[in-house]
Amino acid sequence: MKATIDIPDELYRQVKVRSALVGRAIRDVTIELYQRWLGEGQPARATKSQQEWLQSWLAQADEYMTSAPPGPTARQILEEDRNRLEPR
Amino acid sequence: MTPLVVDASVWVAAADASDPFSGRSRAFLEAIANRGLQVALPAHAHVEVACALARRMRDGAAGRNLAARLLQAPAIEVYALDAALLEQAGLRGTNALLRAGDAIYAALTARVSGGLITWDQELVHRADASTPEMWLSENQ
Repeated sequence: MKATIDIPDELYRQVKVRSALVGRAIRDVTIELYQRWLGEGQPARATKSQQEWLQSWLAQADEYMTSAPPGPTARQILEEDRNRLEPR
Repeated sequence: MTPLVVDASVWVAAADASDPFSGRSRAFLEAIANRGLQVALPAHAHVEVACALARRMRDGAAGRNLAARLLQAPAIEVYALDAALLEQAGLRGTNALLRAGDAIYAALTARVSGGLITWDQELVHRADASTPEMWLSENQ
Protein backbone atom coordinates (compact mmCIF):
# COMPACT_ATOMS: atom_id res chain seq x y z
CA MET A 1 0.00 0.00 0.00
CA LYS A 2 1.17 3.51 -0.73
CA ALA A 3 0.63 6.32 1.74
CA THR A 4 1.24 10.04 1.44
CA ILE A 5 2.33 11.75 4.64
CA ASP A 6 3.14 15.40 5.27
CA ILE A 7 6.46 15.53 7.17
CA PRO A 8 8.26 18.69 8.37
CA ASP A 9 11.04 19.56 5.90
CA GLU A 10 13.82 19.67 8.50
CA LEU A 11 12.80 16.35 10.04
CA TYR A 12 12.73 14.67 6.66
CA ARG A 13 16.10 16.17 5.74
CA GLN A 14 17.62 14.73 8.93
CA VAL A 15 16.07 11.32 8.25
CA LYS A 16 17.44 11.42 4.71
CA VAL A 17 20.97 12.26 5.92
CA ARG A 18 20.92 9.57 8.59
CA SER A 19 19.55 6.95 6.19
CA ALA A 20 22.27 7.74 3.67
CA LEU A 21 24.91 7.52 6.37
CA VAL A 22 23.87 4.06 7.44
CA GLY A 23 23.16 2.93 3.88
CA ARG A 24 19.47 2.24 4.31
CA ALA A 25 16.45 3.20 2.25
CA ILE A 26 14.03 5.62 3.91
CA ARG A 27 11.23 3.17 3.09
CA ASP A 28 12.96 0.42 5.11
CA VAL A 29 13.56 2.74 8.04
CA THR A 30 9.93 3.88 7.97
CA ILE A 31 8.59 0.32 7.96
CA GLU A 32 10.88 -0.61 10.82
CA LEU A 33 9.71 2.36 12.89
CA TYR A 34 6.08 1.45 12.27
CA GLN A 35 6.77 -2.14 13.34
CA ARG A 36 8.49 -0.97 16.50
CA TRP A 37 5.63 1.37 17.33
CA LEU A 38 3.19 -1.48 16.92
CA GLY A 39 5.38 -3.78 18.97
CA GLU A 40 5.89 -6.13 16.06
CA GLY A 41 8.86 -7.22 14.00
CA GLN A 42 12.48 -6.59 14.79
CA PRO A 43 13.70 -3.61 16.79
CA ALA A 44 15.47 -0.88 14.84
CA ARG A 45 18.78 -1.58 16.49
CA ALA A 46 20.34 -4.81 17.48
CA THR A 47 19.24 -5.77 20.96
CA LYS A 48 22.66 -6.92 22.00
CA SER A 49 24.32 -4.77 24.54
CA GLN A 50 26.99 -2.21 23.92
CA GLN A 51 29.55 -4.57 25.49
CA GLU A 52 28.65 -7.34 23.08
CA TRP A 53 28.71 -4.93 20.17
CA LEU A 54 32.16 -3.64 21.19
CA GLN A 55 33.64 -7.12 21.52
CA SER A 56 32.23 -8.10 18.16
CA TRP A 57 33.54 -4.90 16.52
CA LEU A 58 37.03 -5.36 17.97
CA ALA A 59 37.10 -9.02 16.94
CA GLN A 60 36.19 -8.01 13.41
CA ALA A 61 38.94 -5.38 13.44
CA ASP A 62 41.48 -7.93 14.69
CA GLU A 63 40.48 -10.30 11.91
CA TYR A 64 40.93 -7.63 9.26
CA MET A 65 44.25 -6.51 10.74
CA THR A 66 45.80 -9.94 10.38
CA SER A 67 46.19 -9.27 6.68
CA ALA A 68 47.22 -5.62 7.01
CA PRO A 69 50.67 -4.87 5.62
CA PRO A 70 53.36 -3.47 7.92
CA GLY A 71 53.44 0.30 8.20
CA PRO A 72 52.16 3.19 10.27
CA THR A 73 49.15 2.45 12.45
CA ALA A 74 45.69 3.72 11.60
CA ARG A 75 45.98 6.37 14.33
CA GLN A 76 49.29 7.57 12.93
CA ILE A 77 47.72 7.75 9.47
CA LEU A 78 44.83 9.78 10.90
CA GLU A 79 47.27 12.02 12.75
CA GLU A 80 49.16 12.60 9.52
CA ASP A 81 45.86 13.52 7.83
CA ARG A 82 45.35 16.08 10.56
CA ASN A 83 48.87 17.40 10.40
CA ARG A 84 49.15 21.09 11.18
CA LEU A 85 51.80 23.25 9.65
CA GLU A 86 51.94 25.89 12.34
CA PRO A 87 53.65 25.26 15.70
CA ARG A 88 51.39 24.12 18.50
CA MET B 1 24.73 10.87 32.49
CA THR B 2 26.15 13.17 29.86
CA PRO B 3 27.32 11.56 26.63
CA LEU B 4 30.93 11.46 25.52
CA VAL B 5 32.13 12.56 22.12
CA VAL B 6 34.77 10.02 21.15
CA ASP B 7 37.15 11.25 18.47
CA ALA B 8 38.09 9.05 15.51
CA SER B 9 41.64 8.72 16.88
CA VAL B 10 40.32 6.57 19.74
CA TRP B 11 38.28 4.31 17.48
CA VAL B 12 41.07 3.67 15.00
CA ALA B 13 43.62 3.13 17.77
CA ALA B 14 41.31 0.58 19.36
CA ALA B 15 40.75 -1.17 16.04
CA ASP B 16 44.45 -1.43 15.25
CA ALA B 17 46.04 -3.76 17.79
CA SER B 18 49.50 -2.81 16.52
CA ASP B 19 49.03 0.74 17.79
CA PRO B 20 50.77 1.56 21.09
CA PHE B 21 47.53 3.23 22.25
CA SER B 22 45.30 0.31 21.26
CA GLY B 23 45.15 -1.33 24.67
CA ARG B 24 44.30 1.91 26.46
CA SER B 25 41.71 2.76 23.83
CA ARG B 26 40.08 -0.63 24.24
CA ALA B 27 40.13 -0.33 28.03
CA PHE B 28 38.43 3.05 27.75
CA LEU B 29 35.75 1.84 25.31
CA GLU B 30 35.09 -1.19 27.50
CA ALA B 31 34.78 1.04 30.57
CA ILE B 32 32.21 3.32 29.00
CA ALA B 33 30.31 0.35 27.56
CA ASN B 34 30.21 -1.28 30.99
CA ARG B 35 28.81 1.93 32.45
CA GLY B 36 26.23 2.24 29.72
CA LEU B 37 27.44 5.69 28.68
CA GLN B 38 26.10 7.16 25.48
CA VAL B 39 28.52 8.21 22.74
CA ALA B 40 27.90 11.11 20.38
CA LEU B 41 29.64 11.26 17.02
CA PRO B 42 29.58 13.99 14.39
CA ALA B 43 28.63 12.55 11.02
CA HIS B 44 32.08 13.06 9.53
CA ALA B 45 33.72 10.85 12.18
CA HIS B 46 32.76 7.67 10.39
CA VAL B 47 34.49 8.94 7.23
CA GLU B 48 37.67 9.58 9.22
CA VAL B 49 37.47 6.10 10.72
CA ALA B 50 36.72 4.42 7.40
CA CYS B 51 39.52 6.15 5.51
CA ALA B 52 42.20 5.75 8.18
CA LEU B 53 41.42 2.04 8.61
CA ALA B 54 41.19 1.45 4.86
CA ARG B 55 44.59 3.06 4.33
CA ARG B 56 46.07 1.05 7.19
CA MET B 57 44.69 -2.24 5.90
CA ARG B 58 44.99 -1.35 2.21
CA ASP B 59 41.40 -2.60 2.05
CA GLY B 60 38.59 -0.19 1.31
CA ALA B 61 35.76 -2.64 1.96
CA ALA B 62 37.16 -3.54 5.37
CA GLY B 63 37.45 0.13 6.33
CA ARG B 64 33.91 0.86 5.19
CA ASN B 65 32.55 -2.19 7.00
CA LEU B 66 34.13 -1.30 10.33
CA ALA B 67 32.96 2.30 10.04
CA ALA B 68 29.43 1.22 9.06
CA ARG B 69 29.26 -1.09 12.06
CA LEU B 70 30.28 1.84 14.25
CA LEU B 71 27.14 3.67 13.16
CA GLN B 72 25.03 0.69 14.21
CA ALA B 73 26.37 0.51 17.77
CA PRO B 74 23.54 0.53 20.31
CA ALA B 75 24.97 3.40 22.36
CA ILE B 76 26.21 5.63 19.57
CA GLU B 77 24.21 8.58 18.34
CA VAL B 78 25.37 10.21 15.11
CA TYR B 79 24.73 13.92 14.66
CA ALA B 80 24.29 15.44 11.24
CA LEU B 81 26.46 18.40 10.33
CA ASP B 82 23.56 20.82 10.33
CA ALA B 83 23.75 24.58 9.97
CA ALA B 84 23.64 25.23 13.71
CA LEU B 85 26.45 22.77 14.44
CA LEU B 86 28.62 24.21 11.69
CA GLU B 87 28.02 27.74 12.90
CA GLN B 88 29.04 26.71 16.40
CA ALA B 89 32.08 24.93 14.97
CA GLY B 90 33.12 28.08 13.15
CA LEU B 91 32.86 30.07 16.35
CA ARG B 92 34.73 27.57 18.52
CA GLY B 93 37.30 26.77 15.88
CA THR B 94 38.27 30.38 15.31
CA ASN B 95 38.29 31.25 18.99
CA ALA B 96 40.43 28.28 20.00
CA LEU B 97 42.46 28.13 16.75
CA LEU B 98 41.30 24.63 15.95
CA ARG B 99 41.49 22.71 12.73
CA ALA B 100 38.09 22.65 10.97
CA GLY B 101 37.38 18.98 11.63
CA ASP B 102 38.39 19.37 15.26
CA ALA B 103 36.09 22.36 15.63
CA ILE B 104 33.15 20.13 14.69
CA TYR B 105 34.03 17.71 17.50
CA ALA B 106 34.29 20.65 19.90
CA ALA B 107 30.96 22.08 18.77
CA LEU B 108 29.20 18.74 19.18
CA THR B 109 30.70 18.35 22.66
CA ALA B 110 29.17 21.70 23.60
CA ARG B 111 25.83 20.78 22.05
CA VAL B 112 25.48 17.57 24.04
CA SER B 113 27.04 19.12 27.16
CA GLY B 114 29.41 16.19 27.25
CA GLY B 115 33.10 15.47 27.35
CA LEU B 116 35.48 15.07 24.42
CA ILE B 117 37.85 12.11 24.37
CA THR B 118 40.77 12.00 21.97
CA TRP B 119 44.41 11.07 21.48
CA ASP B 120 44.92 14.34 19.62
CA GLN B 121 47.08 16.59 21.78
CA GLU B 122 45.91 19.76 20.07
CA LEU B 123 42.31 18.97 21.02
CA VAL B 124 43.45 18.22 24.56
CA HIS B 125 45.28 21.52 24.86
CA ARG B 126 42.96 23.80 22.93
CA ALA B 127 39.50 22.25 23.33
CA ASP B 128 39.63 20.97 26.90
CA ALA B 129 39.48 17.37 25.72
CA SER B 130 40.76 14.36 27.67
CA THR B 131 42.73 11.35 26.55
CA PRO B 132 41.22 7.93 27.28
CA GLU B 133 43.74 7.39 30.06
CA MET B 134 42.93 10.77 31.61
CA TRP B 135 39.25 9.83 31.58
CA LEU B 136 39.99 6.41 33.07
CA SER B 137 42.09 7.86 35.87
CA GLU B 138 39.37 10.39 36.69
CA ASN B 139 36.58 7.84 36.57
CA GLN B 140 38.01 4.77 38.27
